Amino acid sequence: MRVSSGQIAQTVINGLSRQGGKYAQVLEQMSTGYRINNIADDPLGSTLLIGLDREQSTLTQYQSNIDSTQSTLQRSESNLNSSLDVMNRVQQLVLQGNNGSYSAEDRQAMAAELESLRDSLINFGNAVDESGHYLFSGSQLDTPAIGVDEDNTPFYQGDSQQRQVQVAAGVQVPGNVSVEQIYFGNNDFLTSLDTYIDELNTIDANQSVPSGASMIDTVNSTMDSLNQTLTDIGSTISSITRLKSAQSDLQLVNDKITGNIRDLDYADAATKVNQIQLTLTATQQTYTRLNNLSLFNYM
Amino acid sequence: MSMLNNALSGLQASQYALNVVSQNVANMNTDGYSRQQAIMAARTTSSFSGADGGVDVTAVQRISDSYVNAALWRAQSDNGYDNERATLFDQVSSVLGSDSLNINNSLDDFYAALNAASESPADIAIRQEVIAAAGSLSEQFQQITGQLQVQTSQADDAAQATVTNINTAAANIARLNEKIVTIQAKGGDTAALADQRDNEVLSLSQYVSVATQPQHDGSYTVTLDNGQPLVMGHQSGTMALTDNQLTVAFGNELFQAHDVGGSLGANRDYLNNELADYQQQLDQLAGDIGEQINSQLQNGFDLNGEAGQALFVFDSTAPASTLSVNPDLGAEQLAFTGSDDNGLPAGGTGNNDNLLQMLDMGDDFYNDYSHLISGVAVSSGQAQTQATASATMLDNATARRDSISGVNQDEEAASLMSYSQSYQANAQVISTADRLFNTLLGMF
Repeated sequence: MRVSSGQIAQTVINGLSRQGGKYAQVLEQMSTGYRINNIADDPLGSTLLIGLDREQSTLTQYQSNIDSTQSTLQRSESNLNSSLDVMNRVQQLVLQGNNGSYSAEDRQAMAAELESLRDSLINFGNAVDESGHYLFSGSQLDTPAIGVDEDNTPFYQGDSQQRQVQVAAGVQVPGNVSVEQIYFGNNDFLTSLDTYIDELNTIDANQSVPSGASMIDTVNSTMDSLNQTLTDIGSTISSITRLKSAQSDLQLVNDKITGNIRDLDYADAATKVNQIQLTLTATQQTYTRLNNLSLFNYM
Repeated sequence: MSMLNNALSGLQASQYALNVVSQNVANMNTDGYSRQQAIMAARTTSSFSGADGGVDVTAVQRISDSYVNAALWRAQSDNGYDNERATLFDQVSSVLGSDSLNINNSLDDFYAALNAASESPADIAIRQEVIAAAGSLSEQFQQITGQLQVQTSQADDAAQATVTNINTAAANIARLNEKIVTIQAKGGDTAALADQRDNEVLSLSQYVSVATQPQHDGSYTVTLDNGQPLVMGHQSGTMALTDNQLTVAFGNELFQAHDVGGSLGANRDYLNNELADYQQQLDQLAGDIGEQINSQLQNGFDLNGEAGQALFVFDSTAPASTLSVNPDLGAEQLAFTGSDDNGLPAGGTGNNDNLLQMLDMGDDFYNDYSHLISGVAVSSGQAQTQATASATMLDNATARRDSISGVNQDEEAASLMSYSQSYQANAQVISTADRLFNTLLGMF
């Protein structure tokens, strides 16, 4: 094939600019550390990266939901644990009060202590979170869970709603518990306690407290109910903690995949740079040699 | 004395050929120069001896292959198209693919705030976060739309400049046609003008795809691929781009032009198809987000038990560029509480039923945007690959043209030697003839 002199120069220039373009691309990759600097560099990889980014951010959102749910549940747990301590003392006092051998003064002292324990239970039931919202009143965050009427009779004024929080794809857990079932369930513990305190205060010495026997049952079943609620909270916390750790593992894997797709393999890039330099040098040398080959030199 | 005449004609022919060689060597680096060749033929004679007459330079041939040229122009048009397309896609993929202008990142923030609110629906700080994130999301839509509009107007400016270049090239070709026709009719040398004209066609081909038909009088008729005339004889048409409509005015006629190929064709195709489509998808997404979030909110109740209000306001004819946060909405008016069967609040301020519904919508929004971005990435990647391929095709077509019309140094050096030798040989013949004549004269 006939080749014009200009063509030889053009081929060399094309070659040099092609290598120059590759060189610029590798340099950009090396300076950013990314193999993909424009989504067009690897459309499939970019699409995968978008999916991975989305998954990572979803996992981060779940984890932050888990964190805040856990902190709310732990706050509830600690209030309920304290309530359980109070209930232990209530149990002791009721057992003592049922014993007919105490004097009227002793019983009145017990009644006074029970009264203050009752107020503690109401206080714990009306605990608030860091932003002042009531923990145990269902969805009625601005209403104390336990109110008292004019006769100082306690009643539940929240609702029974449990707020669902998304903690994993398709997994929702209750983010709150209410004290409705504990104190105002079948036994209506707080009302029974008030009756019991009244009786302790008023009955004669050596008489047994009329509601004494049923009060023990009520105390026991209220403690069971408290324990049950604490168990529920504990199992929710442990299951979301497990979820969080599984999600962290998944995030690590995703990070690794993301790195594999997006990040530059420096060894590979360094080899490429060498190849490009080699090709550039070879092209330049070939061109200068070719340029020396001219029939005009022999005239 | 035919010997003397023969030698003299040889001397002159050699000189002429050497002249042609010198012209080739001088233009070795001239773009688009077609090498020339002196064509020689033995003079016909009427004498009986047969050995008189000598040689004539019958023509100086411009070495050029019209098929190869046409292939080069076609390759130039294809490369103009693909290259422009790749450039435009490079711009849009760097806008839509950048980390700073990314709807998904803003959606992340918006949904992170909504998620936080699902655990603490009544927390004012978290509610304010939701409104702030909605604001950033809206701004992101506006900014991306703004960038796409900047790209549109830049591309429109580029198209106008290209149209001007096309008109200039067409006018130049018409002017060269006129000169070539005149000079050719007088039998003059049109090689340099023909080269210039081919160069003009080459640069025109980069802007639009054209068909070029050589005419008997030496002129070129140049038309767009779809037949609209650009140059006929000494007349040229005027292209115009108004209201996204390309026209060619030729004489008294006005032609509509479309699918014009070349860089102008790529520019118009991209603006009217892909970019319009991306904008449309972006509008669709912004409209969906605004509409669906708003209507869900309007189903719920706020912290005060009032019916929900819209979070977003936008113009439904251009959602992406107008999406913004309802300025009348306070943090406590976000309606996260669901409604019951009677259309009343389903619970207290801690009820998040309505919010959970909004969380469920997120996937669709993300998917729509990811779909848009991966579409851009794939098209952009294809455009780059296509541009690289057609650049190679153009290199090949240029090489093919140069292999025929380009000057080769060694070839010219060889011609230089060979014509110098023939010049010397003819001079020797003249000198011999002179000696023969002198010998003859010396006999007397």
